[in-house]
Amino acid sequence: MKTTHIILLIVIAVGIAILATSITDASTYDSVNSAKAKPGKYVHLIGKLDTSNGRHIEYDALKNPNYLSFHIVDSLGGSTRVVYMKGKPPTDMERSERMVLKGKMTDSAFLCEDILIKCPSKYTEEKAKISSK
Amino acid sequence: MPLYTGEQLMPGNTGQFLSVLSFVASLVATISFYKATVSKDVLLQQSWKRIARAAFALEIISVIGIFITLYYIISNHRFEYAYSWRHSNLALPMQYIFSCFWEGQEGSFLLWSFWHCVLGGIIMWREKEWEAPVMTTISLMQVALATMALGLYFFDLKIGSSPFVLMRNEDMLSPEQFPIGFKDGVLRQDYLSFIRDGKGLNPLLQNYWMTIHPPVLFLGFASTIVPFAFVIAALWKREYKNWLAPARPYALFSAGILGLGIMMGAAWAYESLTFGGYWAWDPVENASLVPWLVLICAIHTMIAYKHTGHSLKAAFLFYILQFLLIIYSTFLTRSGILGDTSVHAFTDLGMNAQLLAFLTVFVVPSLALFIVRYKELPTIKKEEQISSREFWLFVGSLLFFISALFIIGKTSLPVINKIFGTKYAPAEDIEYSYNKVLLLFAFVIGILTAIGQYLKYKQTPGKQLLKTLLWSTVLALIISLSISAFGEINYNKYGIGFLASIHAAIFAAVYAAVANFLYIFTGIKGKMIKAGASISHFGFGLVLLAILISSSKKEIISWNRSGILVNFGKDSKENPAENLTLVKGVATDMGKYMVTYVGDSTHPLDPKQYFKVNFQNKNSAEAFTLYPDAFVNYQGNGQLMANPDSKHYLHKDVFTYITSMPDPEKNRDTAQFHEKKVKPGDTIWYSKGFMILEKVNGRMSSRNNIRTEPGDSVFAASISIYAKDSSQYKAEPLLIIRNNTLIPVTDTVLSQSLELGFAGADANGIKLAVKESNAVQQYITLKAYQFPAINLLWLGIIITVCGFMLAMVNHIQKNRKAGVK
Repeated sequence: MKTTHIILLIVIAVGIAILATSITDASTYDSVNSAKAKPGKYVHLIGKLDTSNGRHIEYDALKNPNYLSFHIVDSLGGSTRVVYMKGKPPTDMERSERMVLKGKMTDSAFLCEDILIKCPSKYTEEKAKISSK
Repeated sequence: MPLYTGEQLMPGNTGQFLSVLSFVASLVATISFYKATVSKDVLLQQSWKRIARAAFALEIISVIGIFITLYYIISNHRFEYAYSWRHSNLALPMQYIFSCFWEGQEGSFLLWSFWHCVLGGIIMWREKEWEAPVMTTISLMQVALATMALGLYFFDLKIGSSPFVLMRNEDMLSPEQFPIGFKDGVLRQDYLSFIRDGKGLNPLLQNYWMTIHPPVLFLGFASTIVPFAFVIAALWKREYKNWLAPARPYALFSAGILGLGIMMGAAWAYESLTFGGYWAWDPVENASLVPWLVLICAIHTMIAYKHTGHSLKAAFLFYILQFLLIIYSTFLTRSGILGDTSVHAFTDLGMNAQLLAFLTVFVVPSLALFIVRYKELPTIKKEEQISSREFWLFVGSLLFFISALFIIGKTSLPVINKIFGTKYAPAEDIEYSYNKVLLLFAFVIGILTAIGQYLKYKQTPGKQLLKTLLWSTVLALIISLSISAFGEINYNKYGIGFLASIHAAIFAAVYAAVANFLYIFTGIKGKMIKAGASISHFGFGLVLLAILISSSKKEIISWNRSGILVNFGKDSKENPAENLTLVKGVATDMGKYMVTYVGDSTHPLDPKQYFKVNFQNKNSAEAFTLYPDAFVNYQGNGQLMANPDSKHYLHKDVFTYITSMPDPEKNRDTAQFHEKKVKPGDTIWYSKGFMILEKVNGRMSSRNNIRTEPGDSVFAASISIYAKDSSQYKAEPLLIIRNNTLIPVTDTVLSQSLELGFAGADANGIKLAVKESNAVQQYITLKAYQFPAINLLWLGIIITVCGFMLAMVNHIQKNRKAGVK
């Protein structure tokens, strides 16, 4: 056996090992209800801001600049309160059509580590913003 | 007579014509260069080549023409054109006009295409023998890029997206959204006079980096095609040796410029975006890093082949892959498939089928050609010696390649989900999931980088190697051990194993830097023209070291120790509380600094608001002022878009940016006074702490600014306030009795939003009115970081790029000398 072959084999083994570890690292996309079924597990939720029944974005930098709370509802109708402990509401949150939330479900709320906002596509946004001052 | 007043249709028609011309010219060039390559007859070759050159010259002219036309439209604010309206506005400073140009997908494809024209021109001028086959590939690429900006319909299929379309033709004007421009449901003849201004450039992109980063990055992207085209030409013409010398300078140039372009993006992210760092393993960053890694593999295996005849297959494969990965990354970043995983919001232009076709057109033929020719490729039967340089060049390249595969594999998760219908999401701790693997690679690569040049081709005598490496090893050990011992690198978030790996990798990085630096003097005896490789490896070692130090010692200094800490039970340790609120004029404790928000300023010609924040070191005389800025309520969108500001030291940066400020609209005081009956010594709780009524004095007040008249009875309630953040305040609300009327004088504690009033008194005590206001203050919330060794990173990158350029010059000179002989 040539040394290059041995090296290649080792390399392939290392590659597979790395792949295996990164799959165990990987998280999943979940609905609100399936996330509630596995509290404490790190998941990605996709949903939109829920402002029904007087629900609103709670944020007061004077009281605590690191506390943000709001509600989301997902496409299956599941709804949850979300608490984000890293700062202010992200830009365009109110106008977002959908957001990806990363974090863990707890008894009281979804404890969110990261919020990714998806805005309405450029196209519709443009239509909305043509104005004549 | 134009249909609508004020419209200028000429530039749009010119641009559209030039787009079609560019498509046709590059198509003719492709076919003619192909014919020139395959023709057996020399005369026929010559005539095909003449046609091809003329066609490519026409292509260059039309691309430059498109550039000028689009520039005219944007700089003259012709808002009848959708591109101009979308990406610019009247208030935009002149230096950002170019930024508008490449903010859109169409403009960035055009920029890419422009660089191919420049490179194609150089190749036609310089490369005699290889001109035709190499230019076939480049012209084909130009055809593909030209279709991206075509914007024509073939039956129902839209090919490309043109930057020259009019707003009214794009359904962007409708009676509902633009009522003033319509009359009886029909667009008014003078509609254009109602479109006063464009939407403008995204404020986050209004930055000088946006002017210089894309051209450099796209030059890097564009230049990767040249070595790829050489390799395809070599396989095609079955000339497996001669391609190397002419292709080498282009490959070195490409590696230098692409690396520079990527790191300019990192510098931009660091300096003016609020990502809190220079690298976040974001899919868009990865997609441009991976081709660079593979290009480095290609260059190293090519060098091994040049000197020993080994690794040719690997070199071919790497050169093909690095370019295919450029196209793949284009697909990833522009198709919108990364939507859920990237912070860079790329919009879907509805060209995914076309992007996929673009990918296929290059992937399938080039890999097929490689497979067909694979058996023919010359190989050397004899095995490499383990002590030879070529062996370790191959191993190092392989490791680099695996790390590239690892990165692109993780980045491609959304693609895998799409193909297999799975629902994998990125890991919980994205950065760690990359770092823990790549740290080990960094260690091995660092060591190989250090010893690589000391190894000899074919075989290295062990004793000689030990002798030449002795000083570098000793010196590297001394330096890295002192960094480990005194550098206070104790990043223990992921346990002792990870920390140990960091220290090991620091040694490897220092070793790489030291050994390559010394090699300039010991190995090549200070002949600087030959030092390109050593210099770039030295720079690479510094970059590695800077990454390790800055990442493991990055420190958040705006830890919030005040305010309400909401308890989340067992999860409370995850509360990062990285934002600190600063009330105007009140010095606040932040790590080793006392920070004060002094005020803010605006300038009529600058849409940004600048915040003045003073930093005073608690233990020394160190004091400085930072001016982080932000677009507040830009174009009425009610948002805060912040740019950071940094205090630069040689060894570290203190870096801060605004995360929020009160909304003046919502900031109305709606709070009420609540009265409480208290006696001296009583405690009253409020949301941020408690207060104690010390005593009530008659006729005595320490508040000199309150005017009293003779005959007034003045009662002062002296109150001590103890906030949760252990700060203390005094307040003294007064009650003045004048001619049998009660005049209460309130006192406020600004930083606690407290307003206290003396509402009345009887035998049992006093009535204290307490209001916790939500409006009286001006404040900002900010985040601050401390970044060490950031300058070492920038220095390392500049040195690396200089090394690549020096090596390129060296090989151009060598080729010229060889040509003269």
